[in-house]
Amino acid sequence: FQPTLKVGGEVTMSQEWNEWELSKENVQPLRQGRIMSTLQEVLAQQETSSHTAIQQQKQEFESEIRFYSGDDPLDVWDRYIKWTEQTFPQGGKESNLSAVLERAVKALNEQQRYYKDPRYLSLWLKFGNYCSEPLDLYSYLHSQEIGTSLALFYITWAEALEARGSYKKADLIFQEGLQRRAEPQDKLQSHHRQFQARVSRQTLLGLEQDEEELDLPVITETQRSSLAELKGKGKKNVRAPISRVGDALKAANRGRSFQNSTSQQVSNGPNFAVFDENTASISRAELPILTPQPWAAPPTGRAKENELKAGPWNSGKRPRGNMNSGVEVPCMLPSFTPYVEESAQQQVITPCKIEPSINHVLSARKPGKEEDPLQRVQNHQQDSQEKKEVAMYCKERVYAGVEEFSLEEIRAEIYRKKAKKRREEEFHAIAQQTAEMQRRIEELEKKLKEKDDDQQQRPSEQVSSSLFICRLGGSCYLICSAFYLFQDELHGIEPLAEDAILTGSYKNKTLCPSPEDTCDFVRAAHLASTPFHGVISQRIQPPTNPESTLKEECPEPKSTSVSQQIPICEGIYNETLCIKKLSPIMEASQEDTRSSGSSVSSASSLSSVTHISTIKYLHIPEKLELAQNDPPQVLWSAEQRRRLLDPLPDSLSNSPGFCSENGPMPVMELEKEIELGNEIYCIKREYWTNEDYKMFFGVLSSFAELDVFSQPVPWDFYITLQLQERLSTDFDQSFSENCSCFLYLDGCAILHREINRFTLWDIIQCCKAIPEEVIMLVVYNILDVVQKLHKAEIVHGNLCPEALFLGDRICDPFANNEITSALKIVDFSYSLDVRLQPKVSLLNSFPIAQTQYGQQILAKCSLPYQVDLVGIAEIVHLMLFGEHLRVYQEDSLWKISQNFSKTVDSDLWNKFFRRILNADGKSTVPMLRELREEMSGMFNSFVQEWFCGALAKLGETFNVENFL
Amino acid sequence: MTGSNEFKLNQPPEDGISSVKFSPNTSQFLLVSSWDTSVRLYDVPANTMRLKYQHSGAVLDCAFYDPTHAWSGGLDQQLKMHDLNTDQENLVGAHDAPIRCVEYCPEVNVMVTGSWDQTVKLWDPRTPCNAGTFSQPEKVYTLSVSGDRLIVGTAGRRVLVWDLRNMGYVQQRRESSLKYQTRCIRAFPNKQGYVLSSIEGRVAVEYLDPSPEIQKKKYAFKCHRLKENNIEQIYPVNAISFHNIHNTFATGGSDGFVNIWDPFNKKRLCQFHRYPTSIASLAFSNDGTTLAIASSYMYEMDDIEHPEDGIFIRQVTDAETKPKST
Repeated sequence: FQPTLKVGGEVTMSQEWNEWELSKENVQPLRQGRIMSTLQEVLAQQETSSHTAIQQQKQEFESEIRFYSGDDPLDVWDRYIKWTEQTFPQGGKESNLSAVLERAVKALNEQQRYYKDPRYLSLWLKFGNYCSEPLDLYSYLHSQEIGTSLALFYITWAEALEARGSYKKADLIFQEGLQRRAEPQDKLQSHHRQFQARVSRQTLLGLEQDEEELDLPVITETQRSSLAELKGKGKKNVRAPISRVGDALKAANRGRSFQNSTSQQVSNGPNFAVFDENTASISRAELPILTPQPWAAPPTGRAKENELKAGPWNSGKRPRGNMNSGVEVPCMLPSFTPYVEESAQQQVITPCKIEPSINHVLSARKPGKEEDPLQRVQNHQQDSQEKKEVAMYCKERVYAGVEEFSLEEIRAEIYRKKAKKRREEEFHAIAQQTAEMQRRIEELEKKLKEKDDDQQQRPSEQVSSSLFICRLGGSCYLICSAFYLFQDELHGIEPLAEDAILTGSYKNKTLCPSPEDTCDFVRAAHLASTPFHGVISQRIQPPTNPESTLKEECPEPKSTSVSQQIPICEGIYNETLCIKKLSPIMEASQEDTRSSGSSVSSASSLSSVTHISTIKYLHIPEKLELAQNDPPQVLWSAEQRRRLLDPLPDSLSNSPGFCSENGPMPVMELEKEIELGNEIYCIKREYWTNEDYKMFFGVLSSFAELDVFSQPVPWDFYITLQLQERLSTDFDQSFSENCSCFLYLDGCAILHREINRFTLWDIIQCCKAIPEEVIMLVVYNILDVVQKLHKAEIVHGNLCPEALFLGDRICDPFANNEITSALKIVDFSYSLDVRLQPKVSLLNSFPIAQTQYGQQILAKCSLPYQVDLVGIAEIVHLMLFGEHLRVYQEDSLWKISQNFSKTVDSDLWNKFFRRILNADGKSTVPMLRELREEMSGMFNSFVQEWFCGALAKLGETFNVENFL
Repeated sequence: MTGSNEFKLNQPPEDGISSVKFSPNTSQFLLVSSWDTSVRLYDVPANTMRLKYQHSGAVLDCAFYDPTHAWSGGLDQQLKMHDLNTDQENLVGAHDAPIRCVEYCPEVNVMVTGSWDQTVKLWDPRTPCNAGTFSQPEKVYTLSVSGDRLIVGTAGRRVLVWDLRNMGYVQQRRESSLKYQTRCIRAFPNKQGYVLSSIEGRVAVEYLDPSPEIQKKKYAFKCHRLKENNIEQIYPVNAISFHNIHNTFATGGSDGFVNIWDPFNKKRLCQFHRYPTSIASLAFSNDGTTLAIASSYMYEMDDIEHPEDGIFIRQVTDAETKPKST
């Protein structure tokens, strides 16, 4: 494009050179100037030819143009054009600026509201630079009244005229501008004055020149205009050499004509000074500069005297033309090729060589006639009026910008927008939920306060809870509640009387021995904000602890200093501290379910429970022959599940509780300590073990509570997360709300924190007869949980008393009965995700189907949901009769073999069993709801007291020997 | 509407269908990529979905490497290889912009991907790893493999022919002979040329041999246009698929029609009934007995209400696909 481009390339070796210094020649001046940083960056990038960033920005502009929804589309175009100017300092083809301008003009055509907008005008004026006849454009703008209220329009127009020597016309344009009061007026006036000054000086100089060279008709306007008819393409800024005379004038003219040779066949006719010897010599002097060295001696260079007549600027042009065509004529260097080829064979990049003739054949579409862009724009306007065909796609989108977009790109943009919107909505929903929860928490707090007051009125009821004070850096401020049974003997933590705490005699109970240790401190802070709420033993507190009462301590002045130390915890502390009278109820209440018991005094470990189950990673040789149709038989085989969860869904691996460990799973056995995450748990109880998985209860080595499972695939974890997602607000305490997953190479452990240690099986075992009300409560809750599961399209698959942990409603005497649930299900090792595994017809692989009753009932069943119903029946049967379910069929109805004793409501239970055992083919969710509604209200406050008694008994048998 | 020689697949994708591809050795398995971010494998005779895996964004194209390995890429810019036997996933690599096309070249044993980041990348399917990045003049919209040659169609109506054995330079730089955007390019199974379709109802038949006498044979024709109230409606031609044996090809347009063409006699062999919505992708099975037709709205007219997306499996006969000997 510009011969001078080479200069930069030669010097690039020295990198410390300023890019700008190297490529000044290649940077086109801009009226508004250039941003130096952008310029530097762009120039530097050209060296490395990494254009991806530029491409991306361009793509962004392109897509913004297509999807702009605001009311100022000009703004996007304006920014796009400015960006293009800045990013492609050389201008030229690469920048595609003329195309951008043309598109912009087309796109914004006939937008009346922009006619007075300076941005719109400047768009047109820039576009004018690329038109072959800018004067036509100005007349067009004038006729359309575009920018006619703006001074810039008249100034530019007048300049263009002046450059062509039409001083009178230029003056007329200025006059009109002034007359129309184009803004800013002072600018227009000053330009006008300058113009007048130039003209008068020109006239003066012309007179002088006239005296010297009478035959050179430079000045007279008539001549100038008539000879200026050679079209000046593209450049409007070419000005007549007004201030120069004689040789200088001609030389300058020539010089310019070379520099501006971009597209201009310039020339000021009057300088047709062929006969001038001076110019001839000058032009010859210029030759070597313009011709690159390899072409120093082209054949034409041997100038014969007579051939000079073509004129100096002609001979200056010629070598340049040669150079351009040089690319197409490699045959000039035939002697080199054999040498190059041999070594170049291994080179990855071989030069592209296409025979020009072939190339011509291949470019099928003949290049369209060089049409004037202005004409194209005008044609475009006419085109849109006549329509015989209609393109059945959104053509304006596809071709809106400078580059085309495919339908997929447009759709991708819509897709991204939708995704973004969805994310925002989700975020909004979460915010709303948080607010809602906050509201509920406040409500509950109120309620609890009332309860608290109640309790104080009933001093006879001893509460086995106490508050600890922990010492942090000498300031004693921390409150937590914990419930313990054997604190004296076992941990030496004295129960604190309220008075004692308030007076400060127990203040040096240190939970956080070194405040510098951030870990400790954080733990303590956590404890302070979310005290432990394992509540099981609250009611089983032996009456031997009369002095244990609820305490609180709020030394406010000191607390502020702490909160300053750790600003993160500030909110939490404040929350804790501003509640003046903390009660254990409050601490234990549901809003604190997040409590990590890690920092609670070991005394509380009793009430916390841990389950660990382990599964050996089964390496079943897997081969799904694509042609074979049989679905895998064992629904929960590790292999099958791994396939279902492979790759781990993002929701899973991104879940905060998920943790992938790069090593084998630690061996889990009774009384062994294992490390999960950063915490060490001691396994205290084994719930069950089978070939590929185990379930344990563990205690955090020094403190409290957790609950562990394990499997080769994080299936439990997956189900829990799915439940959370599918049930949203219905996901409540019936499920594990605080669980994390540790994925090892050969297995995986799932940790459920805050699980009460006892299962329904413990109750059934330790109590000979369970009162009917209790059974009702349990059944009511089972129905509730199962209904939720089924609603979420999940089949539990192994409902049995061992798998049902007791919930806070049973274990926490002060729990809010409305909200808390009596049971908790954490084990989903036999579960089916019906959404994921829709085609399950073989029920006989469920464990329950191995039992006699299961086989009988499930033999003809088809829906997997049925499995859970049989599970429920079995549990109820166990509770009612203390033995396993036995069934028989009568009139194609399943009935239980046992007869009800007179003490129970036999009608109710008969009906219950009849419905639950004969539900095949029916939708389970509404049926469970109906059953549950029948049960509701059949239990009363007595139930909880009974449980307390039972648990106390359990605690005696279990706690002491097994756990402590 | 669906006769005995045609049926609709069960469990279709939940959003637009971007591509359908038959297994290289049997017409039993069909791989389908979709805007619902999934790639599905269907067992066609059994009419069941056999397997499904996910990307984190819409999937724009998929391809079989061998009967047990699927490759796919899309808006998430990631190229995935999925083992269909073990259901194991392998992240092979990535582009800097969404991946638009994925193809396999058996002659050179290489996977080819084209992306809106203006590059084509080659991948060694055995390792699997990147085997080279080759920049193209514009965003890649479509590509097709013909023997060891790679034909790339980009934005700006450019067509580039590469030699997969020597990717050092572009073998041929061409311009589409059609006036509007290139939608699809598919190579003749006989490796002599390719067919290119445009967004405005036209199809061009081109030859790779650059000699003028061969180039004279190339031609283009109008199709997928409907006349309504004296106004000609011109639809994008989105899909082309070749019949491996007869070298005839099917085109599918946004008008919902599928046409089968005989490029040698310049004749249309047949037209099927109109499908509910745009034909987004077509695939002949390897033996040419079955044609998979993805009818799926492509947002040509923006995000509006549209008929349900579906995949139709049609048994085709020689009468429909074999050139009529004249």
